[in-house]
Amino acid sequence: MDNKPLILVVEDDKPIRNFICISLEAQGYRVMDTQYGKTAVTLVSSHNPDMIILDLGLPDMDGSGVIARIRPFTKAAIIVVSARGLEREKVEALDSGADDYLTKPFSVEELLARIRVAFRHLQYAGQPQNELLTLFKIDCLTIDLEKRRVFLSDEEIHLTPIEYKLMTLMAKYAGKVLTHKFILEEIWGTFSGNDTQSLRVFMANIRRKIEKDPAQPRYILTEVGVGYRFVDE
Amino acid sequence: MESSKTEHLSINNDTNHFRATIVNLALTIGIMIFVTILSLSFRYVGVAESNIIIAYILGVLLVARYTDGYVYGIAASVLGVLKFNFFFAEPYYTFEAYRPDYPITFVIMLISAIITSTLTTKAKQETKLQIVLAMERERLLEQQQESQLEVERERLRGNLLRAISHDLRTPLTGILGATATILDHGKVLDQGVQRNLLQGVYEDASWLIHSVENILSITRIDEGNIELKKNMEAVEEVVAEAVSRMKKQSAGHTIKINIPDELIMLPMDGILITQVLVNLIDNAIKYTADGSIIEIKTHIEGENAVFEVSDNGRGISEEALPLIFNRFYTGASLKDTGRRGTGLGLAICRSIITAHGGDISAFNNPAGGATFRFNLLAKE
Repeated sequence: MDNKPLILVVEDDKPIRNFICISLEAQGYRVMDTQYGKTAVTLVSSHNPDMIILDLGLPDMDGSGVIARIRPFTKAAIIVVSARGLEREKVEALDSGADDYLTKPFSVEELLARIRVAFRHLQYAGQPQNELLTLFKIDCLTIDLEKRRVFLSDEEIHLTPIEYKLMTLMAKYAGKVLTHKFILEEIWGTFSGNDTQSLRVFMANIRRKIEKDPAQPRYILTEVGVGYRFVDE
Repeated sequence: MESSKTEHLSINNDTNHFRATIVNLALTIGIMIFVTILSLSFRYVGVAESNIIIAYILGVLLVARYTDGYVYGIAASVLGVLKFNFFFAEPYYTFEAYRPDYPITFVIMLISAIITSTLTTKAKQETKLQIVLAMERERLLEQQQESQLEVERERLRGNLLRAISHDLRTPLTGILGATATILDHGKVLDQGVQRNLLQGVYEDASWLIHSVENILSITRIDEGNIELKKNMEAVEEVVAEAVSRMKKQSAGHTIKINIPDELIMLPMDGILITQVLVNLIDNAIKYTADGSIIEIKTHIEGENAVFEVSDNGRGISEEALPLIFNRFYTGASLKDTGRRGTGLGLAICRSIITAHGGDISAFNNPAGGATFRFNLLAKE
């Protein structure tokens, strides 16, 4: 009867660890916790959790160090937690294998939303290729991956090939934050230094086509200093 | 002090000194040869002798002007008289002089040449001294400003500590009290009372987080090293991020966004400019009644991108207007939480915008309410 997902919480602050564990248990997840990075590495290899909530400021080990140690042998989704203003740290963690991040202070709601998204992607990843969804639909926006067409309500949206590639990439990872580096590598195959400017221009053009108000986007959210997130609910 | 400064300015090592001597000598000889050639050509075309004397005195003046010290000017004076004697006093090309008035001519010429040269040199040195004095004054002024800044920094640090100890202790006491009450008497307190206490804890904690973030930013700015990570950022993305972050707090307000259709990209530190917008929106929410409208506008004006956050509240009083960007200035909040701000939000905005090379200002709208406006250079 123990097929509930197992979540490992790595956080050195006891009250925060407590409230995360209590909220997760209330949602029916099984929870393990530790305050040390080294213990976390051991627990991951011995218990193989499905998800890891990892604070980046641990007393004994650098958060990115923990990711580097565990990523090679676990498929678990890793959600990192860090303070606002430490965007570089987050980008580093994401680029070295974390799946998503939460900015302190966060609410239980946000935490649970991120966990749901991460679990959904874990499930997709487990499915064979041909069973991947062919129709992506959210609110008024529909992406028909088979016919390679995009609709807003019933109206077809005309996208350039690169814009379409960007849309499908983000839809594939809907709900997850994608760093500039990741997107550039996936679309253009290279990441040329800090040249994220062209990416912004592409995103702005797509927004002009699918968003009613690009300054209050419904579909493509900007995570300033980190990347983009396509909404999923 | 002055003399040491002068010495410092003058040439202070041997090779330089030697080189300067050569240059001065060359100048003296060169100018005097030039004057002689000029005078020879004067004689050739038949210009009167008196003009040749004037030309030599001009030569002496030039030497005094462009060489260092009195020596070269005086040397040029003597040289001038000798040359006049040699080339232009009959008989030519000897140092003999037949005309009886020549000795008088020579003496007068020598005296006027020496006076000219010494006066010129003196004037030059006085100018130099004045420059040195001016530089000295400048340096002292800078030192004074530096120490004033240091005092100011100390004062701010003190104020910050006081703000932290007072403003943070209050909500912490609230949290401690409320949670202790629930822990100790949870069983006898009814649900409503407990909820009320927890609501207070929640509000205190939210306020603390906001304040701590502002205090962190201000200390970072205080240390004088706001590290700007400038990137080309899309204005719409930065505005969107700020608005989405404030959505929860702004439940009672309407936020309107009015930005141009075309994409505006600016060099800026996206995270810091987002923080400026968040602070301005937060401010507008705090000081206007529920139901008020907050509008965020941007447009391009010449070489600047202009951002405006305006509201239709009561506006800012005339006395407060010049003060609101000062640190620790707080207005009376409309909200009944009884809690003042830390008085850091707008000061941080100003520091960030100044670091970007822009301006920030506040004014009341003709139709009511207040507007905060800042501008950023549209190009690097």
